[in-house]
Amino acid sequence: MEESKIFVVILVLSTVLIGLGIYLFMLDRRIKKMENEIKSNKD
Amino acid sequence: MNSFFKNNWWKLLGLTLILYSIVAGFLIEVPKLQGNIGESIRNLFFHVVMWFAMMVMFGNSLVRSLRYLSTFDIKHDLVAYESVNIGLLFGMLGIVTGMEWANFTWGTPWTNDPQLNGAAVTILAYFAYLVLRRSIDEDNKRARIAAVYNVFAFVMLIVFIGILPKMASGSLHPGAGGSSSTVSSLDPTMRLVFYPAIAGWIIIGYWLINLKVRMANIRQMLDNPEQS
Repeated sequence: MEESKIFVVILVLSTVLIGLGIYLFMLDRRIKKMENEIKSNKD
Repeated sequence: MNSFFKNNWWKLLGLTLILYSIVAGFLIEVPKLQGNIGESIRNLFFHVVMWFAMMVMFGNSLVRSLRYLSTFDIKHDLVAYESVNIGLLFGMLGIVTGMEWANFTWGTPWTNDPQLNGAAVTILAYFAYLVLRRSIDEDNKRARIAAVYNVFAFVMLIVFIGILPKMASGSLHPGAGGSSSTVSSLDPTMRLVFYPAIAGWIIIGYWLINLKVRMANIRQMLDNPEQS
């Protein structure tokens, strides 16, 4: 059994994780925008 | 933007720790254990870590519930609630990945085992927390009753996950009765991946709680524009 195949698994899982990370950061930014909007509406 | 890094470094740290656990989790040498477990012992870094992260989330929820009971600041109740949500997320992932691993290794997704049943009962107890909350309309009443229930739920967690399994005579799942627990007998090389992975997932758990709390606050402000 070729051991180099494991690198594909590492790559796939890393992609999934990085994808999740990007999604979380996007969510974070969207929420921050809403928070800023509300804060500026209060003035 | 330096302020981005100043405020968000810990989120990147969490992601990096998990990324490290994925890469190192597959590259390090793992000990040859008895039975047919083979390379799948690497699931320790992905399945077992879920349980530890879950317990920290529920612990955080307990702390927040206690802080609510001593200050009656509704903010603590919101964090306690979202902590349970994220704890349940990790717990369900733990259950599902456990069933997948069990089916692969033992030929069945579930056994009549104190550790498995204990974990399932604990998760049910926290789902009941959600049901309890939903049954009460008034904010402060809901917060108070949920906080008290949270204390009992955590006690149940300690009993069903920490105490009863150790009293069992023996089981397929490591940690019960006679067999040594996963953690105390963990191979030193694996420890180098295991602990950072747990830290990473705990950080991501806190990030998820943070996001959910902020969303709830925004929703609250949008629903009640006259309140500041």
